[in-house]
Amino acid sequence: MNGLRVENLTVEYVKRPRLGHKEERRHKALADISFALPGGETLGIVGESGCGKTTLGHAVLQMTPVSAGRVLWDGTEITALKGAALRPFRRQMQLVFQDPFEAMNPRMTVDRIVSEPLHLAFGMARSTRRQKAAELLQRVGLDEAVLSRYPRQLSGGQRQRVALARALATEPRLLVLDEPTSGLDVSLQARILNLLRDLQAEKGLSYLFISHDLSAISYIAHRTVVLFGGHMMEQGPTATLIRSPAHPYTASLLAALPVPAAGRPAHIASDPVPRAGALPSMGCIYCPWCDRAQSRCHFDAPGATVLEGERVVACHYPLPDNRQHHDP
Amino acid sequence: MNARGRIALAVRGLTVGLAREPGARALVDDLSFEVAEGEMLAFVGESGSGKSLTAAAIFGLLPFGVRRLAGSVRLHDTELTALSERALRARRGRDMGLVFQNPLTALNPSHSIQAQIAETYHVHKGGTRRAAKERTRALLAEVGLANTANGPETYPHQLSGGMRQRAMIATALACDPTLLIADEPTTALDVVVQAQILDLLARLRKERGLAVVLITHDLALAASCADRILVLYAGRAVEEGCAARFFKTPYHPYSRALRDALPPLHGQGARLAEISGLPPGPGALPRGCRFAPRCPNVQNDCRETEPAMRRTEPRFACLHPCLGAP
Repeated sequence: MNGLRVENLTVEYVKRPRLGHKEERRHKALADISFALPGGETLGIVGESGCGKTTLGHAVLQMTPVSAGRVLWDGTEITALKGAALRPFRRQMQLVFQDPFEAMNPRMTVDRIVSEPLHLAFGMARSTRRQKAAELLQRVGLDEAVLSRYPRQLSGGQRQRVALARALATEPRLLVLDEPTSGLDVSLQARILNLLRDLQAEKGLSYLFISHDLSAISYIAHRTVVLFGGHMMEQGPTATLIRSPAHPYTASLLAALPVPAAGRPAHIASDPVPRAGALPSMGCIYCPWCDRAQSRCHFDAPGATVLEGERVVACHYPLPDNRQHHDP
Repeated sequence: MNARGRIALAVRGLTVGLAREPGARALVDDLSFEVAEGEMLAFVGESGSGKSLTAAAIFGLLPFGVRRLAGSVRLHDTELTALSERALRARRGRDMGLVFQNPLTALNPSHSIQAQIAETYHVHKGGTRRAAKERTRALLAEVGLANTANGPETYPHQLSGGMRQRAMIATALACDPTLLIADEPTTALDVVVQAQILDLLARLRKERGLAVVLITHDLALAASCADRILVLYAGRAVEEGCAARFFKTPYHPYSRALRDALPPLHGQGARLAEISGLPPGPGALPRGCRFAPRCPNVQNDCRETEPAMRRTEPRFACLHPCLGAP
């Protein structure tokens, strides 16, 4: 299959026994995640902080060890590859970080930042590198004059564009975008999102778009995976998922979005319980916070069920499809 | 805006500029607004529009080289600009609290949360150490950190982003201030925690009659939780009004552009409306209206005269406002 395919991906971090901690402790950062991302499309990964979004991006790029499951790129199992065999695949997949400032060496000029991957991936000569770097900058809407500047001399939007240009340097086919717009203000966010769409149309890139913001996801992603506590809660076409969420957690994420002009007490669904660290060890991972939870949910973990319309939900009591009754 | 409470904060003609070049362009220009008790006013604008600088000017915490050139800041019956540095320091943290965008850099990493809150209380209110501890426990419970309140000493790195922001709010509230300025309090947080923090602010406003100034770039966020919105552009107020109507009918083209730049939740097809260009830097202010070079409604007269803020509702500063359907 063309594109990215992730099957039963599990990432587990192990705390080895040492003084004071006799037992080995395991933390499952991701449990049994499966999805497919066809070439030229965007898959949104949404969830709150600590749900495993970033780990998922890193696991796909083989930047963190995978405990179980497979990652396939164009049908090749890259989880089975190592070292030199993996390198050509690394070139095809690039990562854009949330905070471009922290992801750049402050003592390197934009020219060096963008042309370093050209040197590493293609062994390009210095003179051609500069020209290619200027081209890359132009493609993301930056002037050639930026080349000789340092990251601190750029505005937030410019920095994120430079980060994009650097990622595009190796001519990748998949970009993992880890919250690329959450540090930017709304007008810059609009520009970066538009730019990402243009680049996708122009070069047929695939995006794994990681965000906690469902409105940004709804704009850019064709399909969306909702994560909670390292588990897949729901996935499906973004428009359907937002119009009619099947999982109660997706519904609560939607309820948390600020609703303009709807009168003030807009967020009622939020709970005062901090979610971190207290995930249940058996049953549904979301059930302590779920208002639809029944006795079965406390001991029987729901598996992924396929619903109509290419949707998958991990819930015993999914919300009814309300697309017919309720049209915004 | 009927039945507004007593005015807590009144700012008149506030102008902030460079100390060394008094003739240069003001960074915040002739800004006036009021916040009543129990009310939330939101400042909305892009980065560099002077939102945070206004907050700093109210607190008398302007960075080196930047000065208040004109204007008055009244908190209840006190003129803050007339106070000495010493008297102002006594009021900061006691009568007015500030919540920063990044609580990790605003909190001291080597002191526990409990000690930091107790310190604020002890410095301003005096009393025994025991009383300060009691107070800290009550505050932490009030902002939803009951476990931290009754548990052992907790350091900032042990808390998640949302919990840190709660601790920050608890510190700001330690001495029962009448005014709270929250500078992008939720920008670094995810939507679920953001909703919780905003709920907390709404509750505090209702229970304590706290006046809140919320600084944000997100018009949807402002419209969903504030009573009134003030849109700033390049240091000037361009539109002010009731939050409920802002999202439906913004009059100023800049307010409308901020709204249209937000990705809609439904409707994937349409391209987002960008605001072309960048806000003008301190050096290069255009003649006439500041927004003219980026404005879709621009006409010839916009480049000649700088529009003044209207005195009656709806209040905006534009010669050719957006009228009719959005």
